[in-house]
Amino acid sequence: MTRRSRGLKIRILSVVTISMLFITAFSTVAKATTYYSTFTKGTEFFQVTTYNEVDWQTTVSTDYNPSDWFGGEASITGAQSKFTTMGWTSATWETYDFLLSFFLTNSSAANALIILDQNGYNETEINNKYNNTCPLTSGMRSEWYFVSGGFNESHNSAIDMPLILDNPANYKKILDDYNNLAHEIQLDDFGIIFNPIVKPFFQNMTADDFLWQIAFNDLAMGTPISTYIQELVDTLGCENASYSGNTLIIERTGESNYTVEMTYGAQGTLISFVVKDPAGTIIYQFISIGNTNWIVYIIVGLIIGFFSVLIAFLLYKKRRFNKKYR
Amino acid sequence: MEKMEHAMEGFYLEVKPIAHAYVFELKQQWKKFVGFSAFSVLIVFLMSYVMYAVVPSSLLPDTQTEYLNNGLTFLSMFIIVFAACFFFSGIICSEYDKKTGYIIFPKINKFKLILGKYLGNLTLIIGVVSVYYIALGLFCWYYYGVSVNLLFLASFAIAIVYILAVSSFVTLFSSFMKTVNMTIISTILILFIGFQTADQLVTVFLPDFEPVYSMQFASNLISSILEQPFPNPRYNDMEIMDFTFRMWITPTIETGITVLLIYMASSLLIASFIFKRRQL
Repeated sequence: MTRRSRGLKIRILSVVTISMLFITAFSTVAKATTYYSTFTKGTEFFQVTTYNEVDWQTTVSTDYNPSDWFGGEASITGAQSKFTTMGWTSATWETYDFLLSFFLTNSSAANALIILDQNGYNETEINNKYNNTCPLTSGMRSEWYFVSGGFNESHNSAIDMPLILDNPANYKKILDDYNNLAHEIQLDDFGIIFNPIVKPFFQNMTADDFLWQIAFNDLAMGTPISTYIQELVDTLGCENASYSGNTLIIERTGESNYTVEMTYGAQGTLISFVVKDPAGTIIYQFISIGNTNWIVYIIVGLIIGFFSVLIAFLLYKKRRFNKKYR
Repeated sequence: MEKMEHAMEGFYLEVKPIAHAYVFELKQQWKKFVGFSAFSVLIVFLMSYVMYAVVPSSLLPDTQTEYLNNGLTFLSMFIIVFAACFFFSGIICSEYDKKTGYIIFPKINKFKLILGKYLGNLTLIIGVVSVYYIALGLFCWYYYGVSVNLLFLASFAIAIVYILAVSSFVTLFSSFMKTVNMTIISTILILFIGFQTADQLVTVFLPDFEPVYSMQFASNLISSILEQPFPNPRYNDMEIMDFTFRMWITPTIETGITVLLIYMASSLLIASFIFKRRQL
């Protein structure tokens, strides 16, 4: 093999390796199963585009407003929020992990957990009895609540953890395990003092309520998103939920009936949240107004530009030198 | 009017050799500039892209300030020091190493020559640091969606003051050292090991004393200035075996800038004296 062709091969190999590094890493695919997560580190911005307070109170609730759902100034049109995806990990969760993450999200459940722990419902025992393990991808995001002015330097929430279960059918198993456990706890006697502390936290939950609860907490979708949503809704057997493309549609009843449409973006996380009255009029809406993923093209462009200019300059100098002295 | 024209012409003739030396130095050192700029981009790329984008479980820092702090610490500790040593080490001693400093009737005033060379190298090193700041700022924008703010520019301004101090310090060594290599080695040793050893001795024996004498300590201001509010207290107390160590985080803005300017002025003054004596 000549030195020249070897050099050419090395150059081609280098270019291919660097290109692969660029293409794969900026949008790392976390896992190659049927569904996979496509989290990308960066920041996504949201803006409240519509809020009709009167319609909200006559349709959704007079007791609470969007700020109670999303925090900050979510009830002000034009307010913005943002999420920064800081990283993600692959893990396998057991029943107890889901119990804490999906069902006992209220901080006042801590006392109930202590009592349960002393009465034969500790983590090991629950996991042994309901031995349902779910591989998943757990994202880590910091959240800045909706504000009408500029964002603070520090984020508002500790860490938001969107979860993508590798298999959406596992949501059904999680709900079934919870309902079985809740049934068991309701039948058990913890004593006259402890019963009122424990039992209210373990009420039977319908598939629709479960979907509504996780949609507000940690739900994120695997890719391909449309089939993931479809499988999630169908397996859970929700009566008041449907889907359309990447949108999850949930029918709710407040002061009157209303519809919530949640659309999930390329990363599997929420990019649009719309509340509509029965006539289809939008009462409340916030949407993603952009993310920072495109900046990577500027960075790559600048690096390529820098080296192109440098190479062009060197070639120009060499040519000028050759012209002058040869 | 005629006097004015004469004054202008006189000024032009005074400045012309400096400008020529400046341009010549830019032309001579541009490869170093490209090398250091590429190295800066590579470092930012490794710290920001390879560390965070390639490894999903490697979490981004909580805030953009923490992220920038990490990047700027590397800049002040390594890139500025190395760049200053490599750009300024030969500024005076190379004249004697190549015997041009011994020319009795030079065509160009030697002080003007040195000034032109100094300004040329200073421009290049500020360029390198600018490249680093731009790369870091772009990645910060990419991850956090935050554009450059005034504090980031203030940090850049302090980095320039730090460059002035370090470059003057290296110029001082260049004024009495015989070769470029010796200057590079000795200044790197002093800036990396000398100041750090002194800082550690002070921490142990004089825990309450703030190491304001240290250029490295003053350089902490480059990253600390980004923090809102500014660190207060400016130290952390650590108790180990009934002994309290005081780890100083940063000087005040005024103290830091003053110390760096004192380093610059005194180093350049001493360097000019030595240079003048060396010509005799």
